[in-house]
Amino acid sequence: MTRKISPWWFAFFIALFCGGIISLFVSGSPDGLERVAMNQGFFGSAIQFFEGVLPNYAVPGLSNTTLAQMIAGFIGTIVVFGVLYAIAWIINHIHPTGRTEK
Amino acid sequence: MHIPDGFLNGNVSGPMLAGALGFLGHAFFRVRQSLKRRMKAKGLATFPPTDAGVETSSEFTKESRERMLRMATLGSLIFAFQMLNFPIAQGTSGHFLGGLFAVLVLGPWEGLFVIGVILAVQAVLFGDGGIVAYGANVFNMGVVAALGGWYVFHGFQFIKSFYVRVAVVAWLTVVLASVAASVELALSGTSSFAEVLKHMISVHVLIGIGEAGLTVAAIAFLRKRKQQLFVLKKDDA
Repeated sequence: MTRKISPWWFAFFIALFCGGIISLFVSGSPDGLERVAMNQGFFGSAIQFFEGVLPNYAVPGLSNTTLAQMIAGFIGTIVVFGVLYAIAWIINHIHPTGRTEK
Repeated sequence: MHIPDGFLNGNVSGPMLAGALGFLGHAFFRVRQSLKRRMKAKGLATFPPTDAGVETSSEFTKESRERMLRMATLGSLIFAFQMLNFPIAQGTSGHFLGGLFAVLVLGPWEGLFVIGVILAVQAVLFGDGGIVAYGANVFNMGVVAALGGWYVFHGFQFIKSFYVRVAVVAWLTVVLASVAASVELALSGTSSFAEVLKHMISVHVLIGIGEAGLTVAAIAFLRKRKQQLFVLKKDDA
């Protein structure tokens, strides 16, 4: 079999492109739930127990906001990929019988 | 549609967190289980019968590598799409949810699991969606939209055209998820049910159109690239 680049890698590049580049140009308006919460007057009841490592989809402390958002987008996309790949790896490499595959 | 902490009270978000973790745990179990069945089938196919684990290990790893890549890529794709807020009416935006897309490509449990991981990353890394409200978010976008979407999709077989069915059900999953969110908000006493339901539905009816378009486009892309979709496994060679 010839070694072709899997379309899934191509899809991953699309994900990086969307998450890091296109996301810079998207609407900043509140989303559906936020809009309803504002109109209904309970938006203020939101509490942030934990701001997140990268609050508001931007790298904190970076003065260039475009860059801050871009990097955050890339990081997020890569982290989701990495976490899922790691979990899938664990599932696939533990044999259901309990033995581990080399 | 990520509910932040504070919108729901503990009596609602607590049990939902437990329930959501139960669903995700079961999803994890099912993903593992599907692998086990495939291995058994291979083991029986060989003659004389040999130990399935040893016999099939090389073939198995090639297949599982593809599977891992598929799951991880799909997750990152949905995550990235969720960042793309498109404007709808009056200073409001909406974004892709991806529940139906995930289950059509990966199957109900793997799809649910992927959505759960995306929501966890969003909550921990970006503070998008609350930590305590994580259960409610998994319920709305995972259990209702993804897992529920899978069953609705199969219930809607009277719609003969595949893409029309994808579009209709994708739209419906967003609306159903917004209904679920409304119920949770009302149960928490945050807002009156009738009011919040009316507004949530009227906004998400529009967001659902975007969801339908994106889901159809993404599915069409994968089919064009000859990727096997879980939902078409039987009738699509």
